[in-house]
Amino acid sequence: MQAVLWSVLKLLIVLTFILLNAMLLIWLERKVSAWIQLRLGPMRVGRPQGWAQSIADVLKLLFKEDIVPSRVDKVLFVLGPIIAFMPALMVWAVIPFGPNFVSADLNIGVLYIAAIGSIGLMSIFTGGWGSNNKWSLISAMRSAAQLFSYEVPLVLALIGVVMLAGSLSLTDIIRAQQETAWYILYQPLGFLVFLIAGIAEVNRTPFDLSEAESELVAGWHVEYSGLRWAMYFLAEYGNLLALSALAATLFLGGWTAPFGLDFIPPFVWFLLKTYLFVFVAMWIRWTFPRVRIDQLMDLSWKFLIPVALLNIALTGIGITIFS
Amino acid sequence: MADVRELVDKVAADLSFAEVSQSPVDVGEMVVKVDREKYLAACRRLRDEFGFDYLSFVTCVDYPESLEIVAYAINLETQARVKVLVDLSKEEPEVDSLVEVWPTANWHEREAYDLFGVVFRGHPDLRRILLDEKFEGHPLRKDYGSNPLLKAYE
Amino acid sequence: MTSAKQELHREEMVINMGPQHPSTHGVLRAVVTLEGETVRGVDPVIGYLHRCFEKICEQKTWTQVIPYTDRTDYVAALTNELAYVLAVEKLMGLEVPERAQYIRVIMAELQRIASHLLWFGTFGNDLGAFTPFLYAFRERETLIDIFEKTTGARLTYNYIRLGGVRNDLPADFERETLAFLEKLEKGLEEYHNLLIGNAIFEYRTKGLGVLTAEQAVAWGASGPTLRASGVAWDLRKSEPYLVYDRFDFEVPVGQKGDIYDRCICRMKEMEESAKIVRQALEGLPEGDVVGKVPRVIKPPQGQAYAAVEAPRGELGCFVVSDGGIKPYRVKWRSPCFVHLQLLDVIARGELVADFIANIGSIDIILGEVDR
Repeated sequence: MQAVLWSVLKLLIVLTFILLNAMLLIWLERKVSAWIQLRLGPMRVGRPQGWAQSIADVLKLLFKEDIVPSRVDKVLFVLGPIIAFMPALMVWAVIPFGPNFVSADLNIGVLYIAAIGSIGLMSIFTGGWGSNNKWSLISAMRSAAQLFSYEVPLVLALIGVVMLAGSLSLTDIIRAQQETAWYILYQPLGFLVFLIAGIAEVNRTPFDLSEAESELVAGWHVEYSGLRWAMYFLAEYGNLLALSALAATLFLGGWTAPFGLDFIPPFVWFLLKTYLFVFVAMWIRWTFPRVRIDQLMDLSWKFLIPVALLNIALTGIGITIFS
Repeated sequence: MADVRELVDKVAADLSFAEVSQSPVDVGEMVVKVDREKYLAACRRLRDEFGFDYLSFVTCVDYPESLEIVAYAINLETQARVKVLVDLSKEEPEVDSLVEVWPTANWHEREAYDLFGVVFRGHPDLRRILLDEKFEGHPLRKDYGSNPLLKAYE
Repeated sequence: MTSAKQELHREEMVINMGPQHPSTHGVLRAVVTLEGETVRGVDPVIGYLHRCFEKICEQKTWTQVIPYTDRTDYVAALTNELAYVLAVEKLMGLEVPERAQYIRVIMAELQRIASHLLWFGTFGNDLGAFTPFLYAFRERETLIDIFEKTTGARLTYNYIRLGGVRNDLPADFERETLAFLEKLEKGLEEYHNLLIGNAIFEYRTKGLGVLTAEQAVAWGASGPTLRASGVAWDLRKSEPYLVYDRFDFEVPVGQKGDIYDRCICRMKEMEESAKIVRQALEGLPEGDVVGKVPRVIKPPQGQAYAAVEAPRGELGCFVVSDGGIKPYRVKWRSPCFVHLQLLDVIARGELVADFIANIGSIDIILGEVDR
């Protein structure tokens, strides 16, 4: 009984953590973009630095009228935002926040994450198709093409890590990194592929083709408003956070403290590394122009996948030589 | 600024049917006045023989007695400029289209059609351009409408 | 194989881009025929911003028209005034004092810089890079402040008058302008690092939206759009109005006529404009800023056409006078109106994303297209 209660409690903590963090990320994105663009960003709601802006925004969106356009496919339209949130939440089940702080330490954690990641596509596709809007349709097609091609290099990049650690469990991977060194040092190529494919996976500039506001207005969520739109929006940041947490876990040693700075709790280290990756993603977003859909495909199939395969081969050779 | 005096003589010799002169206000500008039927032929010759390969604009002026089509072309090499004028009767405002000589005439002629009601024969796509399809009348004609407010202002 | 192809159902999709669309720079509506994401045809529908400019001109006196010209191309108002004023002056044979001519040159070139800065920002935006927009506006803001000090307005200036300009330059104009030009130099370098030199930017622009020199001339392209195709036609050189023949500057010319060349031409033009402004400030003569102008403007009967090299191309004004106090007819030859026809020529067969880049690269201002 106690075990059940404990796992429910853990789940609740994780859930609250994600939602709060997604809101924090929205605020952070505004601040980071403002900083890059020589602006101030939100300043009025909450002092200092307009920290309450996201809360105000979410509240506003909550109270907005729930509009379902008359000619949409209602089932798909309603389902889209719900599916959007699912993978962002589910990934967190296996991510370790600290030495003994993980909701479910699956022994196939990496495989599970790879599987969950593909669900994100479904939300965009249902939303885009169900909206019965030409822009949304193009966006849905784009995102389908994009996510299919980026899933492959992403998973291939993970294989190098799994080979080094000899386990699919995320906790084991962190422990393996404690024994040797952070895998970013052993897997620079893998990390590079993971970074590019990951940013494409969460639909951020320069790969935000399915949203592409200057081409497709708003892409798949052009017909969404109010709470449904907010769910898409929060899910986007939930996904970014999940990706960053994954990067921190797989390549940056997770909750491991670097340089023997053990007095800072593991949980804080984990967050710091996660946010470091988030910051990099934001930095990229506000600096680069958007690529085109065919160039995106070229990049994936002609560059990332060969590099990821090369990485696997090199890792295999390295393991054989050094062990 | 190029002086077109010599060119005026040459063009006058070549286009015997046209009235060629130098613009009184602008030394770089040649004025070619032609009949409606010779308009297209004159423009084609100006382009092919005299190198006026760049059409600046085509428009219309509504004079009390007639409508006047103004086509303005430039020779990019010698910088000479030519203004081709055609008088159209108000009863039958029809003239050949210049689209086959200078493709850019397309929208200029659509505009003249829209605002003056001049019909360009042989134009590939003669629709209203600035105004709505259902709009009635051609507002840049001097006799178009009469806003009572404007009357009072005058 | 053939049977499998026949079974695939293909359908062209007609999509309405605009009048409310983030990348149509105002209220352009483009009816785009798409096959998948490939553009098969474009039909720009304009007129949403039609304000009867030419008809209004016929109701106003010759001087009253000037403020209306500001509102056609509202991001380069000074060159609009210049085109109209030059046409009327040509018709009347008005003498303009030298100082006024220099001031006109300075203002027109600064206006070109301001307009190109705005273009740079919005073009980055079209490509999905939002940050350059704010960087460009930082510089433009300084320039607008200088305009405000000189003319009293930030966007629609009503500064260039028949026979001269409204007022002399303010006392610290030279210092501030030179400071701005220095700032601009640094800014241009920054823009290059941020956007123009970016590999993604090159991928998105090189070899796309190609306009050959023959096409450009036949379709009446002008300004940077024409020059990017390799035709060195600049009204400031070919028909030096004002005192442009006294300055030493170059006309940047592209080779391929693609989007990238159009961008580079504009970026280089800003440098050349800065050069002209520097020279004009150096050689600025003393004297009056308004010549002898009759109290009632009544140009003699006749027609006159004057064109200036506006930031977007050949901006012409064709005026007809019947000898009265009002223009008999004013025709506005706006470069954007002509360039918009090109969309179908350059964007056909390319992707939707390139279509957006193409709209951005010909730098349209709908206020001028629709008038």
